[in-house]
Amino acid sequence: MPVAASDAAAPDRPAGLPPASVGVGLKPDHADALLAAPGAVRWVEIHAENVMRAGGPAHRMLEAVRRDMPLSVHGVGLSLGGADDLDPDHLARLAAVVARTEPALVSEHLAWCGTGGAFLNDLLPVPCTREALDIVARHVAQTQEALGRPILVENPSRYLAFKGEEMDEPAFLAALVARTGCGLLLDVNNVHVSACNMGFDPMTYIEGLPLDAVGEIHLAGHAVRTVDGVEIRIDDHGSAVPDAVLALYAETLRRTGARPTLIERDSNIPPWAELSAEAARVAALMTEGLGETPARASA
Amino acid sequence: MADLATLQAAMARAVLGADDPALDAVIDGKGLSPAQRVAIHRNNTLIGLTEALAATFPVVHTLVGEAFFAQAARAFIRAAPPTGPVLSAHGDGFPDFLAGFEPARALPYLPDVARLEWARSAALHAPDGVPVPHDTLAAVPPTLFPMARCAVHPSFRFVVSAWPVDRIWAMHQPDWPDGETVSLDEGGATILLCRAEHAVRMARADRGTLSLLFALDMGQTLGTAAEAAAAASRAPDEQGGGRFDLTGALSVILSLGLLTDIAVPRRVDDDAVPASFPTSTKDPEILEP
Repeated sequence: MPVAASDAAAPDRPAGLPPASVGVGLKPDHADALLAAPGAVRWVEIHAENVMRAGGPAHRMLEAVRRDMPLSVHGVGLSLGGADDLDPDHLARLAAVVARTEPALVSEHLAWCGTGGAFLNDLLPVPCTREALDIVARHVAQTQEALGRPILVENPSRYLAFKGEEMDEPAFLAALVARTGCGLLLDVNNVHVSACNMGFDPMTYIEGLPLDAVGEIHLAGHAVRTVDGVEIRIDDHGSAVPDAVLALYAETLRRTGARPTLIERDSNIPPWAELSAEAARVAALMTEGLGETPARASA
Repeated sequence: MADLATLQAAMARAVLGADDPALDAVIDGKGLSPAQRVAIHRNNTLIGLTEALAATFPVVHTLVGEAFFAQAARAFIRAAPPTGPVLSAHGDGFPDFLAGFEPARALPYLPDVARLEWARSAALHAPDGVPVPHDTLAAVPPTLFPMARCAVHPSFRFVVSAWPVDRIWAMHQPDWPDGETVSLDEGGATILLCRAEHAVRMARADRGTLSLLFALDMGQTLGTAAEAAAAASRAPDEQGGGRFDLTGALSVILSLGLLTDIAVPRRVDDDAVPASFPTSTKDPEILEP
């Protein structure tokens, strides 16, 4: 008799994320060490698509960690910014993951991932037009309805700009928040990467966002490539969070106050001790940063 | 600016295929050409999807090497991009693609190694199931034995190959003994797979055992299934055909954890009312024939 993955659901699992807390992306290689010695890590994030198969060890790992830690579910394939309708099967799978794991947060991206049923596995850029805003707002509302809860929408890494965009990205995201009631997942590395690639000031971008809506922050490393003499930063989550991103993060915290902060590492995965030490540094930075300038009173 | 659907259709074509001059009109290159900007997304897409295929087909990747695998994977991705965002489910068509991939012609066993790895991946992500203990069948009274019905584990998969692909796979695992080799002249194998607990396990079987599993999976009684297996074993083929060994077959099946339920009629002297298969009913429609 097949055993449903939901059978291990426990009513007393930890629920919320403390505002001043650090999480990491859950990796199979780290699960045991994380449970044995979480250190500064207070919660984990999973890519929703990694637990959408019927059964198997991915579910067991998540259940084991979920018994001890709060969770954030991060989708990477819903294509909120696609002109195509949302895939109802995928939305149903996401809703099932959320129902089964009872996460503290659910997030997706301001991006599109394919057309006509072909999935391109990239977070492709959405032009900031009124037409796109209508489409993304409709998809966010539809997602929130299907999940029965608000989601956070993440700012993308940008590698190109479109001619004829009608607003900048912070204005687009602010309008999205206003129209749908969604929150924001502020990826500070993405802001840094986009600012370098597109030539804008990262702090101006961040200050253009409705910062009260930020429910989570992402930190990561990126790669630097040179194309025809032009430096391009690629968001590959393949190295430790660099100083430039940490500095922008500290600056951001002074505006936002404490926010649950995730360290993303999806390639060149280091040993647990190394990632755990990085989490401790980020946790210290959060405490220090907030110590210098206390979190803004609830505005 | 073109409407969003038109823009995304053009960009998707450019990401999977060739540069589209139409995009020059809509992309601001900011110091690079629009094509160079699109190429960043093309790389992201092809690198990510190639890594996902390499995770599903690690031994194929090892057998052909990084550069060859990337070439094959990119051609496959362009011909058959994923139809959804669950990347572990992409690659169904990769074995057949390799069979028709001209540069892989020198490795005739490669498509079947890919079939084995696809079967392993499918078993790994199949629904969970709890195998019955090995001695469950021994507890069935001999008179009820032919009327037993067995539920097959949802992770059951199989591969039939003219090559020793299970051993080719095994020689690329860390526990392969130093110095042991595999000869392509060893001949083929019928391989059963099951993920009974955390890991996928494999075992060789004869075609009678495979027929037995098929029949059980279709809901036939052990008696009927054994007859089908015996008939399949008798049919002559290049391996000669032979006698079906039911005890041996059941031993392989139970060791792999391939059965999740064995249900026997409650009483042999009362028209054999099934006890738990089908479940809890005395409807005469479903009595044993």
